[in-house]
Amino acid sequence: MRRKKLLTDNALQHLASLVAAVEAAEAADVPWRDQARIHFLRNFTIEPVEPYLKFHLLREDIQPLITFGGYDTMSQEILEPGSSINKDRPDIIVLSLLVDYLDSGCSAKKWNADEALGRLDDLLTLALDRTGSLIITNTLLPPIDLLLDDSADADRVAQVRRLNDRMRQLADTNPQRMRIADWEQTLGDFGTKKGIDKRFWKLSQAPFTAPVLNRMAIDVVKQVRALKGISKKCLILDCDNTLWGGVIGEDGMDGIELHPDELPGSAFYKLQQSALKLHEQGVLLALCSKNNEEDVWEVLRAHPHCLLKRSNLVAWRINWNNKAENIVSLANELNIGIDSFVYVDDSPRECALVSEFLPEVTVIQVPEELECYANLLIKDGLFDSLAQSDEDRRRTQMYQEATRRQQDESSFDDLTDYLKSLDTIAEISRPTDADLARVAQLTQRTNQFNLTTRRYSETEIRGFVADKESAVYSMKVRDRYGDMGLTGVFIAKREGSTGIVDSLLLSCRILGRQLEFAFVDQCMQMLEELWHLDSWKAEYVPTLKNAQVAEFWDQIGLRLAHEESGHRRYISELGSRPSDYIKIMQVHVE
Amino acid sequence: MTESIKRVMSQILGVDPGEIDDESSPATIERWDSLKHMQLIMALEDELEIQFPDEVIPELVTFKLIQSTVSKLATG
Repeated sequence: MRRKKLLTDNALQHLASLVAAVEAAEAADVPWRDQARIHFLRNFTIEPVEPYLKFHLLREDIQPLITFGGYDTMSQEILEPGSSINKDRPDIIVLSLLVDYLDSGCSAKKWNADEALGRLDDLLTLALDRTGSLIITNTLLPPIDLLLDDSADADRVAQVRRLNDRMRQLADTNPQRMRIADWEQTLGDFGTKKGIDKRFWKLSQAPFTAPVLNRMAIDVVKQVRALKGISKKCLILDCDNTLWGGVIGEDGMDGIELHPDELPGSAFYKLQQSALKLHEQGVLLALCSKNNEEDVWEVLRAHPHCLLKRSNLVAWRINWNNKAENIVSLANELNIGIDSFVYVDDSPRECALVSEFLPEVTVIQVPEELECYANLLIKDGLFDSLAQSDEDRRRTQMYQEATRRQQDESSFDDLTDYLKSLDTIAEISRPTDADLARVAQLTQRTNQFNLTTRRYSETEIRGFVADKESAVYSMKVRDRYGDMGLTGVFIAKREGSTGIVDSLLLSCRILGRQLEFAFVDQCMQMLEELWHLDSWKAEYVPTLKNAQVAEFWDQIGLRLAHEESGHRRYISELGSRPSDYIKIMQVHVE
Repeated sequence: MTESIKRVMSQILGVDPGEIDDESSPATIERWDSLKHMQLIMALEDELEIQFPDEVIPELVTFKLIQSTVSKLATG
């Protein structure tokens, strides 16, 4: 984690130290978690955003591969077969637009946005239709010159709003493909005076100042996190002076601060509101605090202003153990990675301890200025993911069911007995239209049980489903404790009489019950018949997270044909796969 | 001040501070292109808490010119 240590908040304070830190962090010999190919299509000088963008990506151990297109050659680049967009297929295209260059007449006296609207529409449609990338574009600002002398009249602002409305409309109808960074909001937050530098606007068409560029970069990184499936999954909260003001063991029920309208209580009340909002979106909530457990439950149960309830929590560690150990034990119980946690605590000591021992955890310290406290959970989009599925909203319930399953597990001597007792039913089928968002989301999020870690958008999945030369199967699993939903994806392609496994992944919440074998076996059998196959090719592509499946294909009975730096390629004739695992579950096919 | 300027130049342009002399310019430092120039000016302003008037910004193309302009701004 040496890279993260270079990229301190201090380094971000000055451009020179930022550039130096970014350069050192890029060169640091630490493995990458992932890479992000980002191409800017733009009509003005957006390059100054680059160090900020790199800074935030490098902090996540994501290798930044950032390129900039020519000035105002956006449509050409999308259409040209040899352009960077068509050669490198960026994960994300950032369309950085100023109305000043979208329609040079926009500063004229009586301006009407019709022409700009047509141009914008063409450009966005082209980007959506002709590329497979996630498109991030920005809300347009009034013309910069007019902003600078404060002469942007209401009529002009209304015309710009028409453009932004159209953009939002397109983003709403293509939620998997297009996102909007709200520059209007950003500039509103900083103000024109602090946000725009007239000198660099005149000299280099580069209007924005450091704080604005930093915010713009964060907006892009939010989407990268979501796209790469590295958004945070669980929020762990301390209790005293974090979930409420004061110390319950000393101040008592009447003494702690949680008043909805009066500081300091209102800051904690709002924090609870934010946490519950995240909970509704599928973020898991947990407690990790040094308290008497009963005291905490009493507040959650009986305090008139405490919004958080015990049923909102997926797990807790209320004890006097070391917090880092507690977090590790939470990770084990929930079967999610340490890097999926955000931890909030008021104590600088505890925060430092967790950061030191578990650098993958994002640590938030309760700020001195309590007014900005609740917003800290949301502002960097730590928990954002591309699409929200039903599974997201039901996640806490599913993890709670999983915990009950684990408790039962210990009472069985033989694992097979236990697995049989679960009455597992796996339904394997082609995904329906309604399943596609979840299938894409699983490819984006699944890191551990993922043989090739290929990330796909919903559009791409739809493409595979429609294509006769490829096939997608999904698996839905339920047992006597509850429904675990769509938790497995298998994607294959056909090459003559050979089937090629493109992707195989299972959500971590169904691991450890041998479902993977049944799933793969069924999918392969179906395709062997359908496509008249005589052999299979499969591969294991190593990442930082998927070591547990390095030998999966060996277990299935495929023959290792080639291995290079951990990348294992398999080839196999039909008919050598074991199939006795079926007995522990029922498998329903299509 | 000379040290600060050299340090910022070295951080932005990726050269050793010891290699920077009076005549260091886009001709002698490979990475010093127009974008880096803008970044350099922004970084100097940020570090030294000064503001260059817009008409001189494009002219600050040697270490010597930067140094003399900064000292004028600092005393003026």
